[in-house]
Amino acid sequence: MTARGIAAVWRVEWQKLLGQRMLRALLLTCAFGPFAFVAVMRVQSALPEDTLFGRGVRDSGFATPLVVLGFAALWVLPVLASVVGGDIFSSEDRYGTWASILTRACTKAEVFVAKMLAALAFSTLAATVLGASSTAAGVLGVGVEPLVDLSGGLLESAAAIRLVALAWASALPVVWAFTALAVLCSVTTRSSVVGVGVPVVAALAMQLGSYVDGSETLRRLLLTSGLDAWHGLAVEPRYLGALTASVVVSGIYLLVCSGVAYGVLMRRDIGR
Amino acid sequence: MSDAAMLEMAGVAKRFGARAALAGVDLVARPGEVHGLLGANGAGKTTLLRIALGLARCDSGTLRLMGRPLDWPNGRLPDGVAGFVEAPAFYPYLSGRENLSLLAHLDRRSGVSRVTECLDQVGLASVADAAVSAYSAGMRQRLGLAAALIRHPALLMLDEPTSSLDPAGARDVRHTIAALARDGAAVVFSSHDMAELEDLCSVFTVLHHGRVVFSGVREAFEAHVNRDAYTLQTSNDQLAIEIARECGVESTAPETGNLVVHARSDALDAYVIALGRRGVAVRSLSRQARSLEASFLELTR
Repeated sequence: MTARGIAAVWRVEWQKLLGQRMLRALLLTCAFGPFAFVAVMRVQSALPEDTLFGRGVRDSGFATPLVVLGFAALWVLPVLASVVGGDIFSSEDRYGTWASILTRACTKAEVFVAKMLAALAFSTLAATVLGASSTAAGVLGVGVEPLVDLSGGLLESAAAIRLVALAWASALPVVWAFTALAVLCSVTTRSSVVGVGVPVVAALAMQLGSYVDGSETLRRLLLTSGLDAWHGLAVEPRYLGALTASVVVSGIYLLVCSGVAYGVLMRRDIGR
Repeated sequence: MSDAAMLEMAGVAKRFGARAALAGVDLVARPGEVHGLLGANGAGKTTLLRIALGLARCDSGTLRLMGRPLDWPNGRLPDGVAGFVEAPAFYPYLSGRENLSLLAHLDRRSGVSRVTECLDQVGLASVADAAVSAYSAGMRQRLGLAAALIRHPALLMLDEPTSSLDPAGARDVRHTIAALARDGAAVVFSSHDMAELEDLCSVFTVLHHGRVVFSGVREAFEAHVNRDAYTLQTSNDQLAIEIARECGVESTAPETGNLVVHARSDALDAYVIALGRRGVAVRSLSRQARSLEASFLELTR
């Protein structure tokens, strides 16, 4: 396995991804969806008051990306994480193209690593675009007034934008873990439906599971708990325990899922 | 095994569950030769090519490509080795040119001119910018050949490369294969079209239930299976069959009427003399030309 080989496959994977209309449409939705949300919030009388920072969406533009993050945590981020990860391997089975790419000057290991990195990069890109456009929509549509945090304190613009950036960044390890889960499903089942669908269903099941009484340790093992971990950044004093746990748990999911997927692909005969 | 061999397989075996797809297969392909792979469906041809292209592992045996062992699954297909198994497949939402360009990138050959040249060589230049989803099976097969040609193959392995092509397209592919062999490439290809194999191949390997039942040059193949066969017209076929049995000559009486006898020339001479002595007139005796197909059927019967 060489860096040059991985780079060659990486370039090809991106050309293929950007050649797909559905993915371009998804990125455009991430880029412009939040602007539609802000426009609706400005004209309607009711506010999403049962959502964290929902009361402040007309008072501070920094509330918008946090409301969107809270909503995205339910199923949007798992979808963004799995839409490429769940398809990038199984699409080769669907099109029958494994033999076409593996009879070139690249090894199976290089193909795996490059596809895995491309899936992680796409989910990062999609989440980043959604976070950035939510922030831009809030700032442009509402303004940069101070944000009221969860302890009732006022956060000036600089502190508020820092909170927004950290909150969205804290979601990335979870997104990567869901991407790895999607890759594992994609490699083992060779089905894009399973690859994309299972992580989303798993996310919903984990959220349901978090409502069930049980030990805190078990709850922290659920990936979706990490999507709420940023709440500890929006209170005084700050609480980082959930964030740390989220990074560790996400890392374990990422390593285990990608390791198993790698083993399965490497042992596989192509064509049967 | 020769150092000059482009492909050397020795004792290659592969099982799918309880079924032996390949059982100790040996195969050698040398530069400049077109090596025909014959066998009925399920004989193991595609599995053999799959292993040779590094797409599947063999359970035992050795594989050398252009003199070097292929390390499965970590090995990189050597430069100059190319081919496809079954129907070549591409990304349907991209054009033929874009597909080839991607594959050229994987080979770290980004030259647009090579892509254009290969598209032109297989007769797809005029539809190169159309999405592959609009291509016919034959056009995809041509594109598969173009994808292989991008690698400047010194060893080309093709699995039924003309199965979806019209006669003109199949002829073009045969010309391309012959030209590559003339330029020194080793070509291994499987086909069910006996006339095509007869036309192109100088060496044959015949697989039957995963085993090699013949491997060698064309003349040896014909000698191997072609016990001399003759068509015979006599004044009394029933008696002629009886005399054949007495002389130890195999004879059959097909519904077409004429007798067919299988014998070497000395045994045939003795048989004809015996017919005359017993009062059976020989009205005509002619040697049967045996097609590759007949020889293949005989060998895999």
